[in-house]
Amino acid sequence: MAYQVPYFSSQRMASQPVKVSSSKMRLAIGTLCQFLSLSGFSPISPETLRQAKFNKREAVGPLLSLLAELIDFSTATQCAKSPQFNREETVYVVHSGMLSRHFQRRQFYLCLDIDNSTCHSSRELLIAIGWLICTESLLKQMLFSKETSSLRSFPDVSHKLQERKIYMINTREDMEAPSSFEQYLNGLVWNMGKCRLATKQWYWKEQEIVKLAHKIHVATQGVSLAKNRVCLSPADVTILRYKDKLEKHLHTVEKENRRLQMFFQWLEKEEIFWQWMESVIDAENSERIQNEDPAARSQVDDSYPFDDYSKTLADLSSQLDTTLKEVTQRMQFYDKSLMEKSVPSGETGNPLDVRFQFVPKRVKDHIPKSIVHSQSDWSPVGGIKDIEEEILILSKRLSSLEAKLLEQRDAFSCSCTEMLASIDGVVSIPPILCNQR
Amino acid sequence: MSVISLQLGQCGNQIGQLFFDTLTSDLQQREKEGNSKAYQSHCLDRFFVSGDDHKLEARAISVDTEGKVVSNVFDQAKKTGRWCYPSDQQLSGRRGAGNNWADGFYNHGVKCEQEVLDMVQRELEKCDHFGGFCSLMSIGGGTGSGLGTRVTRALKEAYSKSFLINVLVWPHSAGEVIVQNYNAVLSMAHLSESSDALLIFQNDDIRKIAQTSGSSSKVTFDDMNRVVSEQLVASLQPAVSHDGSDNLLGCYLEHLVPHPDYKLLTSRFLPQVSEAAVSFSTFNWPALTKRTFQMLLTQSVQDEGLNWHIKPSNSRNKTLSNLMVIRGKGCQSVDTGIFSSPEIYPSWIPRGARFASFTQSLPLLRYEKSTSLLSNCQTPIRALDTMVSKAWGMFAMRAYTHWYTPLWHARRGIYRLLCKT
Repeated sequence: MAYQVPYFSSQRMASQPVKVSSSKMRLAIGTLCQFLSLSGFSPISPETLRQAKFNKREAVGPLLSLLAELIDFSTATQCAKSPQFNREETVYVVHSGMLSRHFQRRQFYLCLDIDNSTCHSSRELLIAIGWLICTESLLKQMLFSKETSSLRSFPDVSHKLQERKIYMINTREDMEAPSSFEQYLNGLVWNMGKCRLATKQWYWKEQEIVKLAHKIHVATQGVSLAKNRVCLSPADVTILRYKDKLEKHLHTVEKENRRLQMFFQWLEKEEIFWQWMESVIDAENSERIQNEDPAARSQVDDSYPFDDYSKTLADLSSQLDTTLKEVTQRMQFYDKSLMEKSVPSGETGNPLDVRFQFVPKRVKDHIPKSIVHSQSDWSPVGGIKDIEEEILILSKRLSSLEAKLLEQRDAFSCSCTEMLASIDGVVSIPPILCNQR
Repeated sequence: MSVISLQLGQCGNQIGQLFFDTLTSDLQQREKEGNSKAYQSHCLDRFFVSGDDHKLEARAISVDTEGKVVSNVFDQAKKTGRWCYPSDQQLSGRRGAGNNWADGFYNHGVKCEQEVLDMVQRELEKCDHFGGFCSLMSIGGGTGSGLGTRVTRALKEAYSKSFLINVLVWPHSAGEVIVQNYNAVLSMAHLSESSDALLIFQNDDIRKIAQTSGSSSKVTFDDMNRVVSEQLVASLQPAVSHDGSDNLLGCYLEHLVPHPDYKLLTSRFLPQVSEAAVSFSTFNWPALTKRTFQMLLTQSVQDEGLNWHIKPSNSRNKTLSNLMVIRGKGCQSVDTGIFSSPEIYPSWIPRGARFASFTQSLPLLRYEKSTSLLSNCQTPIRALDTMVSKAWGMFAMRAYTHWYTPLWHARRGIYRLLCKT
């Protein structure tokens, strides 16, 4: 099967549709699923995505959870499975998350049923997931994010943070509705005290980490497992001391390695996946067309003389081309004739080409200061003239020329309008006059 | 987690010495039974540090205005051969505070404040994971109450991010010191601002427990101090919660005293039997938990004479939070559901935050099973009211205010603090 240019990215401007085999497509989808699973997101199978293409109900649950986790990751760059959403919150997060990202697919929002905390279309969820992954380059972010990497920094306290967060959320939900303002205030103060004391505990735990790490650095000075270090890190010491932790670490490293391999595979197979996503949209379009009123569709099919209309359009287009050519030629002719008329008789050369008459330097002291000196020794035509008078004369001449120009323009525009009135569909637009003063 | 103890005054020093002694005795017993070395090292790390000659040194600072008590306590510790106090962590004066809070606070406190902070800093540098301060003092006398209050305030200012719990011994209601009510009230007023939590032991109650659990009918201060130290050991020794986290001091305080206006804690420990009677007694978890709960409902810290007619619905002892440490075999299966009864808690405390428990499968001392309940409840209120009313009564007559006048604008100060209390 051949697929068109992918819909999701403007960068993917495929010059021609490429034929892709089903097995390659399955591999591409499987790569994405594996990468997401290794990055800590809810495991999702290629079969689920396939079901979603055909809008099966079974795919709604897993895709809804995955979309919520992706939004959570994109928003807070935290671990994908935190906090533990219930269904209602999941739908709400999905709705608000996609809305805030300006996802403009109307059918998606129509399918989300916030009241019943569900979605009626797994295909829409799949399209939304694809859009999100594409626009925000989520997979690249996941690759470099510490939270999705198995090789977290040591000591890994992210799970403690999450536990704490869940505890605080549960505590808040556990509180009964206060019956008086005093109770409400007491509850608030109590909560604040909890946070204050928890923050103190955290502070001392950080202090402990720093102290112990320093001890390890001092004790292992000169020994290192990494090029850029001169001592062992707490993680190194833990791994070296405890065999089971070493095995666990190796397992983690292998898992991370697999994740990287998946990502590289994804880079090779990304195009194929997006082509498959295009087919998902095509499937949606064809389903929509099939669901339309067949009577209306047959009326459109049978009665409309498309061939005749296309012939007529072609004829009209060629006529328009011919007319435009004629108009262009006429306008060029008129331009020329106007140019000839605009040069006045009796005047030689450019009337604005009047220059001041200059006087040689040796007679400079004997002539009034109003005359400008020049290097060239010109003999004056008609004697020495006063500069101010010359300026006046020239400005008068300029204004008269401007007036003539305006008259001629008006006359020309009238003749143009008369001439163009006989041609249909052509409008005369006069040039914009620039006021240079 | 390492806890630094500050033993302030005669009472604080004596209780402190017995506290460390009880700890090491318990650990010695566990060692003989061949029990968990990890638990032992965890416990030792919390309260002791290995000295230069590989001897255990208590993470403690001893302060008193008289030298006799401190040297006595140091000698007794050395005699045990198991542990000792660090030699440079003691501070003593030549003359006492004369049961005068103002003398302890304004005179001795000012002189020794900086030195105490230096000792604390030295002790802090030995800790990898600092858990908090535990001050031991009485509030009826002069040194523990006055100097202790001053030191607490200085600690709060210097180490504002640290946890600070004050173990207070309240004087007998029939009292041996005439101005004990003034001293107590003044101390409580200051400590309620400086400290994170105040764990109250009332001498009257401790005496009764000592009578019950002691070998003879004549009760000495030593017996009473032993009761207090055993209860402290039961609460503070390592234990784990259901999710595997340690019973750090910060965890205790976060659960028990998050509201800054409610800091008074009460300790209830079971069983309360003499050493001779232990071998003839059998304990089961349902009985222990039920009795502990009844003690809570009846505002009693003693096991004897409980009023079983009082139920959660008609109990006058409202509690903000409870924390139980359960030690002994089968501790994980103890049912503590009764402690979550909603009638005894205010409605603005979330359900999940009302009760917490920590367990340790190893027994404590001579008890194969024991429970220790720390409550933030109304139990101390009655005694506090009595103390304040007595102090008011004396102040109304301007009785003994001249003791405080040379050091302080006594009347106005006492008046203000009485109002605060």
